Amino acid sequence: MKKMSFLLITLLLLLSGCGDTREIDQRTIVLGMGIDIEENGEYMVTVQVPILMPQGQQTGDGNNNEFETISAKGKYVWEAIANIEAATPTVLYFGHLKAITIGEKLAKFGVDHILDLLDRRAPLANEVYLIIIREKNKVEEFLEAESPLVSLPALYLDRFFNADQKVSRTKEVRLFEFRRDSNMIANTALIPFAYKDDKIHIEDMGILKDQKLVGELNGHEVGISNLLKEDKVKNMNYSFEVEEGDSTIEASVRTDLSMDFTYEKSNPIHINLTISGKGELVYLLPSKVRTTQKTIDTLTEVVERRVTEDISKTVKKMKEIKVEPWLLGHRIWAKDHEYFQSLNWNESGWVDSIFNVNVSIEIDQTGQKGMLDKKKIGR
Amino acid sequence: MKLQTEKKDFGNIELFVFIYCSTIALGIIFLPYISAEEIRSAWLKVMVGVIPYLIFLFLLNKVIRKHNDRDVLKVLKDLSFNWLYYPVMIYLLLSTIYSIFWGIKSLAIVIQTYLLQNTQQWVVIVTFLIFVGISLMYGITAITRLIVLMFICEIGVIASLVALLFSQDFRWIYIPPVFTVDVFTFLKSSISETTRYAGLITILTFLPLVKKETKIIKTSYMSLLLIMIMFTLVSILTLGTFGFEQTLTLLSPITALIQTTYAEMTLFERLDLFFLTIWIWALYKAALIYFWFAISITKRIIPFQKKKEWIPITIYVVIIMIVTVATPSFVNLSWEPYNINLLISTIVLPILLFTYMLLRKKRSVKE
Repeated sequence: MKKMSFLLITLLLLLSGCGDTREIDQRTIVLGMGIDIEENGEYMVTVQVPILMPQGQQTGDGNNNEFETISAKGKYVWEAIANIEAATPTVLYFGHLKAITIGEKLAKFGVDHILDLLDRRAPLANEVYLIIIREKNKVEEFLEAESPLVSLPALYLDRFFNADQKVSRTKEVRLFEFRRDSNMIANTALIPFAYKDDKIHIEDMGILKDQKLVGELNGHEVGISNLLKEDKVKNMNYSFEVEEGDSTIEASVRTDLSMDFTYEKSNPIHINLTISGKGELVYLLPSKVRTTQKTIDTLTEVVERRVTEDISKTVKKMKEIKVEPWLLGHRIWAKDHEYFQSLNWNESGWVDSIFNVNVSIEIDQTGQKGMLDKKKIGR
Repeated sequence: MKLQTEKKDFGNIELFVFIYCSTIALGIIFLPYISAEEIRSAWLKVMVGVIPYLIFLFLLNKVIRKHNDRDVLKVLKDLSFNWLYYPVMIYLLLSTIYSIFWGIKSLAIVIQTYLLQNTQQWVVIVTFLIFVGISLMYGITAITRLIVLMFICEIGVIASLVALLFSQDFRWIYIPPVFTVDVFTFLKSSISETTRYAGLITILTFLPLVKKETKIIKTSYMSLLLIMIMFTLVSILTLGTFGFEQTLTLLSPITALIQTTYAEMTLFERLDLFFLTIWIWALYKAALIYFWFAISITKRIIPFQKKKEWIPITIYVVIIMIVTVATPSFVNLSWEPYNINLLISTIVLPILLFTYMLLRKKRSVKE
């Protein structure tokens, strides 16, 4: 009996952890946070919180929103957050934060002011997504945007990036990825852009050098950027018209590409990019055109040319703003530091570099379910 | 409370798990960068850092074979003078208490950072130490059974870490360059990594409790090797995911890694909390082992009966409780004196003593 009582008293010690507990209705669970800077230099912070209420019940003012956005200004980001907290009945909880949206103006001004805060707060996990909101929208406006597809904009962003999008026009960037890439030799990282009109659009990537927005990648350039940085890209789509014989054919090809990076030790450096990949014909008109080897060869040639052009165009664009966001310099730095030093990479080595691009694509699928080039005999 | 008697009933598995649990806890939570100044290739340093402890095991084996006794501290007492034996034992005891203090401070900061942000540190420390104190009353047999049982969770951790090598966030490109400093700086930097294996010292009082037929050296080498693999794996994973500069600034890179990777890979959003719990258990196991080691050393300095064991347990628990609560927060303490002391007490001193014991035996044989 004595032993049992002693054991029970000991187990009561486990309750010491309960001192930290807060009931769910005492927390304001923040799913999305937006930060921007005002003309007067004050930070505008917006949080998006879900409204917890029984199904079918409406709020007092008849508003059917499943979420609420609350904004406040402050000289410092933390001060603005404290002002939001003062305007809410409960404690702000960032443990479930999905995305941080940053205003384009703030991105141009520099995000280092907010990163330190984000790094120090333990509940705010490393895997939150970062997104820059185009200047045409205010950050708080974007966070108020509703989509019939997913009710909460923060969850929309989370779903969008988790769903492995079939277009390579954007790429998710999480807080730790941004920090990591900003620390590499070129001090450059990417963050996707988003904006809303009647719908939410997530496309294009902002380029942040020394944590300041200095340029952007649009359309195919984003896919090319992924290829150059990650050595592979999936679902690059090319649609084009091409003359074959007397007729013009329209085609769409989806490609998965991989890259092999080598360089020749010269000054300026010669960078050799060998791109290879597979393609899938997803659309072909007129339908009477048969996918003969000749047609496939023609389409392959066009896609290869387009990929080469896109790479050259994207590289040129980055050279113009003197930014190299793909860890190419980092690879040389890691492999041959002495040679890297001789290149003076960030100042002139990157701009002076000479690219040799060799693309080889094989279209090995002419559709996933239909054999549309079969020809019938007879009536 | 009825105290358990200590019998010689531990085999290979118990020895293997005992070494693993005594060493892995604090080492892995703060891997790979604990010092204020660090070089990039911590994964290489932890591989080099194990070498002194392999020498430790080699010499220990020699001493055991020469004297045909697994209780090397008893051999030391028999062979040396009291003026040497007692200061050595007192130093080992104080050093162990220092390590326990450090471990408890680390535990408090990890819990306060990742789990209980609003709970004061003294609540965490006092509760934890009361639990440890009560657990210690059950004796080494119960402690060893517990750590063997809990080792199942460690297997899960090992498997999870290996799986992280295949995550899309991990890239080899962030790991090189391998060697960015001169050999002297590298070796100097590796000294702090060596201390990660310092828990091995506790086998000095555990080995006498191991069955005669147990292959102690082979088992110890294997356990140490597994720890080294774990340390290397964690260092490579964190470096390959976060890059050097970011890893350097993270309080617990492995916790951040689990937070980052498993959040989207698994069904449960906060799986990191599960891993944190495992690491708190790891610290609990290490605390039990270190306290038990301190009590074993005390028993050799001032022999007492088993039924009086609760007295040193209570004294040590209370001392650690007071010191940990009264001292500044962990972040304001320097790792340097702790590391230097660990190096002296767990590697330099034991190797000197082993050498002394080997020499004394030869000399006495000649005489």
